[in-house]
Amino acid sequence: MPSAATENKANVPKKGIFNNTTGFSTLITVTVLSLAWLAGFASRLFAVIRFESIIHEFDPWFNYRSTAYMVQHGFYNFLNWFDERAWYPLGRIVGGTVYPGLMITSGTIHWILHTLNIPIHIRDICVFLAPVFSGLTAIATYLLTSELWSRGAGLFAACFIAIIPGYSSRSVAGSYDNEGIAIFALQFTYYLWLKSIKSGSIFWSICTALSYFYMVSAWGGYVFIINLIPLHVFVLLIMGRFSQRLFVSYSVFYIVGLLLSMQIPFVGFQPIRTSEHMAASGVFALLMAIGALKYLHSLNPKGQWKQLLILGGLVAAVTVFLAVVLLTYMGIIAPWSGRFYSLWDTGYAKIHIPIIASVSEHQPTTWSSFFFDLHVLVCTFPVGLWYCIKNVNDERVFVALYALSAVYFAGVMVRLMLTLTPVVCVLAGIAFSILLDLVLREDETPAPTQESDDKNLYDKAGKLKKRTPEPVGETGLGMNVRSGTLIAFMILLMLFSVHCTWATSNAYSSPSIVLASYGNDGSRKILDDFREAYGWLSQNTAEDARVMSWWDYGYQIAGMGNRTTLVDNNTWNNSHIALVGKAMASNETAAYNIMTMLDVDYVLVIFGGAIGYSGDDINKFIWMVRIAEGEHPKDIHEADYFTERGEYRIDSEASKTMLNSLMYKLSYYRYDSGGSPPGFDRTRGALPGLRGFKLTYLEEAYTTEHWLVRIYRVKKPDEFNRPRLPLAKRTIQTSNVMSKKLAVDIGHMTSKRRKGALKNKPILVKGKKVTKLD
Amino acid sequence: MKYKSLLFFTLFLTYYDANAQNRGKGLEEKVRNLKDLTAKYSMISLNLNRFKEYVRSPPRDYSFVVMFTAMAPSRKCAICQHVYDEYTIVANSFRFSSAYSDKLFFGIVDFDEGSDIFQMLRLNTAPVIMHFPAKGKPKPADSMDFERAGIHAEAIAKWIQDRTDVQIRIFRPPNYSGVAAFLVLFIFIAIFFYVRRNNLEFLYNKQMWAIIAVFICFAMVSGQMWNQIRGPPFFHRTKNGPVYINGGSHGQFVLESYIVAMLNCAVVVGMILMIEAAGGVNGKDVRPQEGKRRRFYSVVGLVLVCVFFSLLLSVFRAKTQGYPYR
Amino acid sequence: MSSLTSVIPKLYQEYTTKTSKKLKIIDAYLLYVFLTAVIQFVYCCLVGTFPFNSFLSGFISTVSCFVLGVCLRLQVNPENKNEFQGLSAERGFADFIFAHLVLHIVVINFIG
Repeated sequence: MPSAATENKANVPKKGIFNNTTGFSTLITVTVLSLAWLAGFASRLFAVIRFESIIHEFDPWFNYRSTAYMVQHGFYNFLNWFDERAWYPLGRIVGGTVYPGLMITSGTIHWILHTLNIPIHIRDICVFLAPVFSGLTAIATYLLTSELWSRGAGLFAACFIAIIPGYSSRSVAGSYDNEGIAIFALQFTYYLWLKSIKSGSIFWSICTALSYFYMVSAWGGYVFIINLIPLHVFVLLIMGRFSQRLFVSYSVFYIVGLLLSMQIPFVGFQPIRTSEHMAASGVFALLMAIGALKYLHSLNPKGQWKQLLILGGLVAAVTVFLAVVLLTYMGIIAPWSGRFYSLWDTGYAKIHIPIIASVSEHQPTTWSSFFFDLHVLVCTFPVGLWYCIKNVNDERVFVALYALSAVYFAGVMVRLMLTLTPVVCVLAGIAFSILLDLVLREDETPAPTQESDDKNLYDKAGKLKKRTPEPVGETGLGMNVRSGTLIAFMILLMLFSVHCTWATSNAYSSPSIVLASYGNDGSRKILDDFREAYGWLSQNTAEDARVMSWWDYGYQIAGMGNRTTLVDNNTWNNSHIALVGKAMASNETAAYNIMTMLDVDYVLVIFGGAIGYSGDDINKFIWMVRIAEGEHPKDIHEADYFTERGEYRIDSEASKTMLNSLMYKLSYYRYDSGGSPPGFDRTRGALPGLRGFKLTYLEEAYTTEHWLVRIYRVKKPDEFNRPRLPLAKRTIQTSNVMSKKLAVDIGHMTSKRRKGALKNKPILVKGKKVTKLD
Repeated sequence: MKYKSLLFFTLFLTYYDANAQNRGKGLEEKVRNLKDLTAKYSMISLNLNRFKEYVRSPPRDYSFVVMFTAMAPSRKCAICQHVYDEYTIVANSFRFSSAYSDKLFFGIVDFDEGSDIFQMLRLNTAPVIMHFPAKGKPKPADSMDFERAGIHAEAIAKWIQDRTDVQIRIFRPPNYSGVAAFLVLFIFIAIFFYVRRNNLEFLYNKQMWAIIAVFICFAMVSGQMWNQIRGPPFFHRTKNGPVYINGGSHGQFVLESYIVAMLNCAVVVGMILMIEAAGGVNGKDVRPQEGKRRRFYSVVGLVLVCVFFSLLLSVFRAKTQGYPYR
Repeated sequence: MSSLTSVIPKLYQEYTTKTSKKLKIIDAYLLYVFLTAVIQFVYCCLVGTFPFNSFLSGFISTVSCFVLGVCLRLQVNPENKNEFQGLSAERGFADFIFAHLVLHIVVINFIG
């Protein structure tokens, strides 16, 4: 793979030599782009090579499950799909709470391939969708950059984005998520927008709106587009760059895009009801007002029209702004949502929305993760920005705004690095192409004459002739400096591609449901505990069994185990999650009450103590407590789970509440593996404080090979409060106190009546036995 | 017998009644006094006598939240002032809210006025916020843990709600300083524009805009936002001298981020130098006598790029163990 | 104020003399569409917005007809020739038709 990437890099500068002939340049463009596609595709296959063709992580499992559902049941059934397997007992209306673009895309590909009689499983399409789309992204980036600067810059940008880790982190094979296709839609929308603003044609703005529609259907990040484009228009207005082309392209894009975006059920009426979208309509109104004023001005170009124009524009802006504020106050327009608001007020989420703050993707970004994701581009893209601003025109204003806003958002949230990556590629491509173009151009000026000389068969003499004026070429940089620069930048690009390949293969290609551990001798061991556990669930439990786990595993249980879950990664109902958190954090008795209330049959916990897996439930436990405390401040106190000194520990010094919590007990029940003293927890490096205890209300159902996943069955009421007696004893007791026994039985009957007839079975059997023995 | 018991019963009743009234009287008076004290100030400043009478002595049906602090400048307690401000906000919000009742009072003990109280409670740190419940003695959970909860008024109110079931809606006096600063800035800008109204050319200075934009990029890329949110130390002092670079890839120091910004900046400057030396974007016509100078600039730019990028790489390598990973 | 009142008849006069007949036809169409939008809006204010998506699709479709009409008018106007280079009046009209096709397909989907 690295060879492909570097070869690909090496191709780019060559382009300059053949610049003069269009045929050659087209050929080179096509070659480079297809190589970029290939390199991007290949470097994303590490996940498949290292592991297997499998869906990764958490969210992709849901996407895969709904895609499979759509392929099986058809599109309209998918839109009306009510999933009773999730969020028990609430259920989830999937069609209305999902961005369907991803499913539709892969469903369409599946359909086309099947009409062509190419039988391919939908899973393979899902696995390879993101790598294929990365090639399309490269092409879209090429188009965008060549619209901004030149085709050479476009080729650079395309090569960069094909392999850059910041993008491949979300689009390796198997990571079947919205972002994989959304970045393509984003880049393509921007390209079409620039195209339409350049030409002022209705056709291109309609295309922009359609591409925007695709983006809306694919990812919630479409809000970025619908704020950035109006911002661009607004800044152009301030700069006094109003033109009729701008008017045409924005007004058509806005109104058609508005209508199109409301076609997605999940988006609904949000575009006219929420503050996030109001900037766009405000700018639309402003543009209309300015257009009208301009028109009046053109009718009668005399008089004090100029003042009137500025005044009118200002008045219109203020009116629009006040109208939006007023409507927000009146409650017609919803204020900014929490997720959006937390981008501006960076302390907001931490205080008010623990469920957002708990996700590691929502943390701010350190410089080292910028460097890790962008490498050399991080310190070259400002050069591109510099030259874009210095040589400004309508399109370059756009890319400058794009860069500034994206770099801000990426600083606030690690996750939004994804929106920064494309613009960094674009700008760095511009920077590299300016430099190498200049360095190579002086090389090139004598070149055409040389070529013509060659044709005339002058050969040596001609070349010598051309060499002689070179001392006069002191004007240029000189051969040494040029070649030095060239070599230095080749090395830089080489380093970049090596880094990218490495980062993609090692850091971003883990499917996270299959773990790999490395022994001391470098041998690789695959830990397949998750699938083992989910496979067990699907084979050995009742079809309608309800499995309680923390929300991280909800999609996987539904996707692989095919069982009903209580909460999952679509964290729409905070109180339900808090209830599960409360059950995990309470002691066994209290938890049992909650679990019976929620009809839980099995409890699944992830325990990494035996193999030193740090992402397990005990480490996440404190977030469960926090979220539970947010909803049930009376029953759960975060402080109780810490030691006196405020430490979070699990050994003998841990607090009593911690040791008695359900999560603790389920994790350490019967645990005797993991190191020199049996029962040593390798993740936290401590010996658990409470060991050898018994569970009253639950029993162990299954534990995987490396103790990673532990499944417990919740006992039925008749199973635990009746002491298990040997047969002989039992007869005596029953014969002696018949009436009492009956009363107890009746008690059981009533408590279980709502559960249905099945549950009465054991009692009946017992009754029979009694009579027999009597 | 019957009469006797009746008599006894009435006697008991009267005694009981009197006792109850007596207790009620003491309590009532205390509550009245307390209400008088809170009429003007939402917090009651306590000395030893008051503390004993209102907070410790038994006939109480109200909770008392007391902050122990050391406000005198000679004590050099920097955090005390912050906690005091937040605590005042809580007390005021309670005093002037609709939830105000005589079930909860706020008190304050300053070390210099009531050091004997500190001794009595065996406190040797300040500030401490303690809750004295209406019944029984304060438990360990009745003193607030600033380290975990933080010192915000909201956190204090939440803690109080935890302990006493009194819900306090924090009403912060609106912070005008931000608005004022904004206004002043706005006015300055307006004045500036007004003074320069005949010469607004500088707004069209692309160089200025480019520099601003590039600096925003440097700030963000070097993780200033992370510094802003997480508030790391400037650098780390150890026994072996100061450490400027955080060893882990998940953390950074303020100074470190500045260093990185400088390195990035140097690379960018180097690259721009090279481009300008090679003739700039617009391909300016090349004057012959400039050849030497341009070559010099170009070499300087190249050296800048190479040296500072390799420095950046080595800093990154220091942070991520064994970076080249082969 | 007096200047404004004096300016309006002047504007009208300018308009009637300067504007070509083709553009006047488009202007008449625009006026019609504009009035339709106003009627819809007034209706919704008076009666209520009950089938909200129907109202929205109707209103937005009129607004976008208006916008598209304005754009067509800008592109057809020979005064703006150098603003829209490479866009002939015929091309503008074809774009206009295409936009309407897309628009009305969506509106029909949305009207419910």
